[in-house]
Amino acid sequence: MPPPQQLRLREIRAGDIVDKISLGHRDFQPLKTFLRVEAKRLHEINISKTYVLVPVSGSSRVWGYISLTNSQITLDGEQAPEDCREAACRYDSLPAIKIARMAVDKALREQGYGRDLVGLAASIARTDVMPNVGCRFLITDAKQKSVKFYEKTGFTMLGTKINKESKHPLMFIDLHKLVI
Amino acid sequence: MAVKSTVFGGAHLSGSEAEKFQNQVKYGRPKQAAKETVKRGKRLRDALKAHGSVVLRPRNP
Repeated sequence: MPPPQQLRLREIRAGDIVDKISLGHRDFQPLKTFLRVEAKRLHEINISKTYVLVPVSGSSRVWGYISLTNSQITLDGEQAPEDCREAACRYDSLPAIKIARMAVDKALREQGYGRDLVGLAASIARTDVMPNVGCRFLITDAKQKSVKFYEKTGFTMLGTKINKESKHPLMFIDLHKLVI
Repeated sequence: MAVKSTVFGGAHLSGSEAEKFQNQVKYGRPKQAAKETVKRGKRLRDALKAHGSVVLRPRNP
């Protein structure tokens, strides 16, 4: 099926066709499985929220999605709290929103949809959650193949050798410092 | 020293990872790309909230 010219971004729904997305590499299989098996259920029971890209008219085949969930960064460091001038460092658990899963069909790559999905996540975290609930970071466990993509959208890599070389390095945006 | 993270859980940083994270938060400056990402998403978020969905068009068809 050729990709649609326009896509609608909305929350996932019960009737959405979730088993047709094609991601093109076996490393992405967990992203397909999550969409097919878990995304709707976790959305319904408020464990995560999934936003999908579907054609504007006709079929509700999902061509891309992003799943967000509440998270936190827990620090077990050796740095004494009083040594840290940054207030956020004084706490050993820091609230975050996590991009748990994200994928765009291979037929729609390099067209800006992934950036749109990350933008939606960042805006929800910055505009809705941070000022109303408290949330310091947007985080993700990036796949190595996706690190450059996340860097282009403004994520920072936790800069240790262990993290940078891990299968899913932690990347983050400090929402508090973004003056929009 | 480790980074432990689960898909629907938190990220646990210990040792040098925790220390590096604290330093990056303390001294890091906001990236222009992150600001642009939030701005880009704000339009989508606003439309989604108002209408329940938003139509996207490819940038490089």
